[in-house]
Amino acid sequence: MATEWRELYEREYARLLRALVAMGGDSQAAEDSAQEAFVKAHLHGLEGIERPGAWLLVTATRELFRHRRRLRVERERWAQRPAIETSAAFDVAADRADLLSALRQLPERQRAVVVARFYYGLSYEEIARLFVIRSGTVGATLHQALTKLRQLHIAGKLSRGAMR
Amino acid sequence: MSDEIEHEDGILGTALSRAVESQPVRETPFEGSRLAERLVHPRRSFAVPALAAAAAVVLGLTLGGALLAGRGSQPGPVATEPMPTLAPTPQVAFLTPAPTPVAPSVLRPTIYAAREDLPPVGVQIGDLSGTRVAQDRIGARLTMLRAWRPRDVPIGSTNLLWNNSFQGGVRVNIEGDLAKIDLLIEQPWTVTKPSDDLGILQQLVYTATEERGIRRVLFTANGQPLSIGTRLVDRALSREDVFGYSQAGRIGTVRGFGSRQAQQRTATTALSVDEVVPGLARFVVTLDQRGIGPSDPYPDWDVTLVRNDESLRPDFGKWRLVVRVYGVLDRTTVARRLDQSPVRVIEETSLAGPQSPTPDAPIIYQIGLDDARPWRTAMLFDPVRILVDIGGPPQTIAANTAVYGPRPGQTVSRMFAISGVASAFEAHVSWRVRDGSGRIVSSFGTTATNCCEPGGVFETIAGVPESVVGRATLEVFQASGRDGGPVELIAIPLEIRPTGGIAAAPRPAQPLFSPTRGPYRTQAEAIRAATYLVRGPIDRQEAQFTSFARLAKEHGVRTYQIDPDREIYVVFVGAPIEAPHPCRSFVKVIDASDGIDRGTLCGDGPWPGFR
Repeated sequence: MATEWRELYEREYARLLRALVAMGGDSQAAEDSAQEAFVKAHLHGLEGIERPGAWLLVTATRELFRHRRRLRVERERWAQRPAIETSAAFDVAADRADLLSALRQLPERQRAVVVARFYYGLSYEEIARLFVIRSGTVGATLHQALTKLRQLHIAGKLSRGAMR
Repeated sequence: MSDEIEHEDGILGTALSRAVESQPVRETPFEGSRLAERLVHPRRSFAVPALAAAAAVVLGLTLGGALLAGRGSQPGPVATEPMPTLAPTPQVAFLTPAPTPVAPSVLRPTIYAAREDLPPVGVQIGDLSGTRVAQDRIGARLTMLRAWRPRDVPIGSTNLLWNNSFQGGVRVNIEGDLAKIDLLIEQPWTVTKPSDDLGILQQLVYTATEERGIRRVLFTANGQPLSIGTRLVDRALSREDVFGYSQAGRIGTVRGFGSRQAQQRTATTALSVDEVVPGLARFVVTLDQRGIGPSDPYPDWDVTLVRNDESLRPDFGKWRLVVRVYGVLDRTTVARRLDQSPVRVIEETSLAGPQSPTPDAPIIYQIGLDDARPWRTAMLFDPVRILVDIGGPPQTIAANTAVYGPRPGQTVSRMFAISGVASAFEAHVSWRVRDGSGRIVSSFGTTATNCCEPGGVFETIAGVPESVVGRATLEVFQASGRDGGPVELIAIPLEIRPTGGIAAAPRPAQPLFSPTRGPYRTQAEAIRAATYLVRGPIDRQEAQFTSFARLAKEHGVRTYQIDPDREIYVVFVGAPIEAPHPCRSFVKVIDASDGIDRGTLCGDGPWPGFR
């Protein structure tokens, strides 16, 4: 029993963590969410989960965004929270980080669908079933997400950088 | 969708996928995961007092709104995942004790000095009253580093940025918990020895992430990747990426299973930093309980490392180590600001109130920390003590073993003390010494004061033959449960002195003091008493697990009763003593045929038949 959980953990943990960091940008929150997802999977029971990797992604994603909402509330209490600045010339060293940064400017659902589609390689049908949205909505969400990335005028340039 | 757009989407998606995959992540090993914890202790609940449970309910309700708002009407995996229960996670429970406030010193900036082969140390200095936003504060702290004169830096540390390449000029850009910092650099960094590049980077990363809410920092120089010596900085770094340890401290809980019975015990605490060994903070909870037996169990306790939410408690720093001890009172409940790196503050909170201990209301010690450096626990007895060791020299620390002595590069005599803390199977820690050619010249094992988790301290005296001088390597390790091979091997380079030890000392025909005359009046008397000599080889396992009386009889060895009621320092004649041993009775086994230390036995009482 413990062996199969270990195998699942060792197979999925790093991938899940990367996906969550990409979506949220906060490595600590990502780790919390990933750990929580595994605990929830254990509570749920492996036999009731058809695709554990995808299940963990969806569960952890919801956990992550829940955590972000809480953080947002807390941060509003910070009196001196600085505004985010941007500086194009500054980002020479971080093409990939900026691509991820652009990703994080998308609405949460779009982020999750993009990661599920391109990083986890899930089909439209699988995404629709796991995230409980209509299949047509998956395509529309993806289209909107990618269009927005282009509209940010960094997607094309940075994607070429990221392919290097 | 046209083919062209679909193709472009595919390229963009691939780029995104590669960007996601390229992110460095710190993978918590399975053993340190919450899942593993749950598998090991499936029924053990995190029992918390009513106050904690109530707070958890409030927190749950607070989060519930956001949770429901986020979920909308989505079923699917969320619908099938279990509903949040009221059994709180440790993190929730630890938010609940009413804190004793310590005035946060947001205007007194902490900047960090470098220490060779150790994490940097923070020092409060200067004034940030002119800064209003995080970017300015980060910039001001980094600029202070440049101007921090070496004579003002704490003893044992240095400021590698003094009069170095960076002369000021900082652009700071913040995104979430990430600070992107561009330094204006006019010439390459001056690095006089190999460890300087890490030292500079540690100072920069620790000082920049001192700002609350900032956990990672991406440094560039003049808009280009930052290069320090041979080190290229090409990614965002957290403190844990540069602190020098091979792995971060366990994010989770270590439990010292005891009894929840209220015993009306009183606890006192002590903290030392850099006293046991450089870079180590040791927090000790001592109970007024001497010895343990079936009718007098030691209390239940646990220690957990959690991230600190700086928006709520900025004074705690980035991490908190939470020590809970049940059924005790500490009448000195206070919040103490220490700022002695890595400890920021210690806060003591009793959920039992000031009157008397209750079984399920722990006293909670919260230790604010600079970083998540490795930590470990140990139990000692008579009196019962709970040790929490934080950090230590990175070169001599493995996941479940830490060696505090001897130090790497130390010159030792042929007989030298090995000490440390281990969480080991059957409390067994093995050691061996290799000479300059790599040949094993002596080996044996020792026993820690407590088995497995939560661990114990160990101390033994190792010896090598007279022929071994000069370069040598001490290896301390645990035996693999799979094949018995060494795991968690810590290699410590040493220099063996050609003189001293048994070889140089005249071997007495009789012990200088008869061990039977104890108790010893002074430590010096005990040191000079040779207590137990064994002639002929001793099987390693026998020495550890077989009655000494039988061994002594088989080998025709004289044995002596040593005083069981005192901590006794027992060594072979001529060997130095450097630290007290926690065992009540302590027996050394010296093979008189070659003078090599065959190990140490540690017990809670006199060994049977020991006369």
